[in-house]
Amino acid sequence: MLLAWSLQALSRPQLGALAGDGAAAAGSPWLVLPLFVAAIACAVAAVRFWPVFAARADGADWVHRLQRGPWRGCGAAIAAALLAQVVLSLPITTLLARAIGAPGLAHAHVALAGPDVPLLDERGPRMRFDVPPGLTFDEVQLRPIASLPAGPLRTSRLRVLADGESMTDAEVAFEQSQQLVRVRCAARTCHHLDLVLAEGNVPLYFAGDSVVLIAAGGHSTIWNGVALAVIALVPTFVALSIACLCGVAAALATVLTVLASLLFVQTIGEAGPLAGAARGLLRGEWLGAGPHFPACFPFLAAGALAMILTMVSRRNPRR
Amino acid sequence: MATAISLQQLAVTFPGRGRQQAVLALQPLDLEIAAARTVGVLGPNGSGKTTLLRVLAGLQPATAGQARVLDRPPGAKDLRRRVAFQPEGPLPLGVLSAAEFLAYVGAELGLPNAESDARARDWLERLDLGHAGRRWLRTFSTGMQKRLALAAVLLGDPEVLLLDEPTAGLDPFGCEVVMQILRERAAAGTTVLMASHQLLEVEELCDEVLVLQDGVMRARGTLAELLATEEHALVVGGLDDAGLRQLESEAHRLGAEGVRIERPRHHLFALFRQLARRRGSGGPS
Repeated sequence: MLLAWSLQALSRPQLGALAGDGAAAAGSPWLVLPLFVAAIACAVAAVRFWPVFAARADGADWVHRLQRGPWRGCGAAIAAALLAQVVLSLPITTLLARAIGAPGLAHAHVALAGPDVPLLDERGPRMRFDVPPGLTFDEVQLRPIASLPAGPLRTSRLRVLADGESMTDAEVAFEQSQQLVRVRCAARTCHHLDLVLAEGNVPLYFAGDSVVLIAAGGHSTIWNGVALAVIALVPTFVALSIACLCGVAAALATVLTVLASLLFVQTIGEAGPLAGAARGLLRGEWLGAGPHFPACFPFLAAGALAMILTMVSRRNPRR
Repeated sequence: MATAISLQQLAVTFPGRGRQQAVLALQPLDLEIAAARTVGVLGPNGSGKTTLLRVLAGLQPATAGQARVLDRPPGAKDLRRRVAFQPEGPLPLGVLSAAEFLAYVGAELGLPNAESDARARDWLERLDLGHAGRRWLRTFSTGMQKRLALAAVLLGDPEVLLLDEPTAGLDPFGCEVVMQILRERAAAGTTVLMASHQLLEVEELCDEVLVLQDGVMRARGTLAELLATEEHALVVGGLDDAGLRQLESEAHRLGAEGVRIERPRHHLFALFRQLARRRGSGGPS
C-alpha cells in the first residue's frame, strides 16, 4: 500500500498535466495494484492451507475422509479467504483512495441514453436525452468522442439546455476526443436535456456514458470504499471457484497458476468489474447506485457455475 | 465371528492418460477379515497396498466388484467415525497446533467439545506430544507427525483401523509406543488392517498376513501357517567346544539332518525394545 501510494505520488504531477481534472481517476492502477496483491495473498493462502483445492495434495486424504460436504470444506475456505481480503482491502479502498485523490463525497452518476445514432454534427445539430423522473442533479459531465471534420477544423461549441433553459452562460467547447467538460448548476430536476451545436464542425459522438448527470447530495467516501472492497471480492471468488474446479484433477502447481492468471486478468487486466469501480471511486462516483454492482453478476454466475461443477465432479473422485 | 471387512472380486484400474497405459492397481480380489483380527498387508512398492486401504476408507471407488466394511459400503456416512484411516504422508493444515488439529478432527467426527478435548489431551500425553504446545504441525518431525496422526485416528474410538505405514519414520522408542497402543487396541477388539514394510513389527503384531504383488494376492494366512517349518532350534548354554561337538554327533546318531551349531544373536529391534521398556518404567536409559 505504501509502495503504491509513493509511486502514485511521484507520478501525480505528470498525470495531472496529462489528464487535468480527471487526474485522480488516472491514478486508479495504483489503487488496483494493492487490491490485486491483497487478493492474491488471501487466495494463495487458502489454496495452500486447504489441501482439497488440489488433487493429490499432501494431507488431502485426511480432509476428504473427515469433510463430507459437497465441496469438502472448500466453500468455507473460500469464505475465509474473502473475509480476510475484506479486512486487508478496507484500508486500501478508504485511506489509500483518499490519499490518491478520491473526493470526500461520492455522488450517484446517472448516464443518459441518447438517440439511436448519437452523433452531433452540422447535419444533426440537436440531440435530446431523457432524464429519469425525480432525479435532482447539480452537475452534467460531457465526454464525447470527437472525429475528424470534413473541412478545416473549427472547434465545436455546444449549448446545454435543461427543459429548454440554458445551463451555461457561455457555450462549452470541444477540441479533442474524450475531453471531459463539467457543467455545474444549482441542484435541480428536469425532464429533458438538450445538446445544441452552436458553432464548429467537429462531429461529436455521445455514446455509452458520454452524458452523465451527477446527482445532488453525496455519500461518505468511506462507504464508497466499503463498496469497492466488496466489489474487489468478485475476482477472488471467481478465481478460487475455478481453481477449485481445476483441483478435482490438477495438482497444486496447476491450480496456483490458474488462480494467479485469473486474478491478474480480472484486476490488472481490467477484464473484471474492479478496474471500472476503482476509476468510479476516484471520480467520486457513488458505487452503490451505478452499474458496477450489476456488472458483477455475470462473474458471480461464472463462479457459482464452477462451484456446482466442482460439486458434481467430486461425486466421482479420481486418484 | 462377525466379518469386519469383505471384498468380492474387488478390482481397481487407474485409466491411462495420453501415452500412459492403464494401471491395474488391484486385480479381482476376494477377502474376508473377521472382526477383532489384526491383519498385516505386505508387498513391494506399487503392489496395491495403499489402494486397498483407500478403497476401504471410501476414498477410492472400485472399478469392479464390491467392498463392505462393517457390512456397509466404505463411503457410508456412519462409517466416518467407526472406521479410521491413517494415510501415509504429512498431515494437512500445517499452521495448526497439535491440539487444534485434534479439535478439528473431533469436531468433524461429531464428538462433543469437552470429550474431544479430554481424549486429545490423553492421547497427546500418551504419545509424548504434550510438550509440542502451540508449535505448528509443519514444524513437527516425521515421527511427531506420525504419532499425532495415530492420535487423530484413535480420537473417535473406531471399530476398524486402516493404517498405512503407521511406524514409517518413527524412532525405535516411538515405534514401541505405537506398537504397544496397537496391541492394546487389538486386545480391546478393534479390527486392524495395517500396510507396512516393517516385517518384524507385522510379525509381532498381526494375527494374519496377506501379501500383495502387482495387485494380486500372492499369499494369505496366519503367521503360523505362513512361517511353518520342519526345523527346530535347541538353545543350550554351559557347554565348551568339545561338548558341542559331542552334542552334534549325538544328533546325527538320532537321525537329525542339516545339524549346525550357531551362536544365537539378538536383533537390534529387540535391544531397542528392551531399552524402551526400561525407559518407560523409569529405569536407566
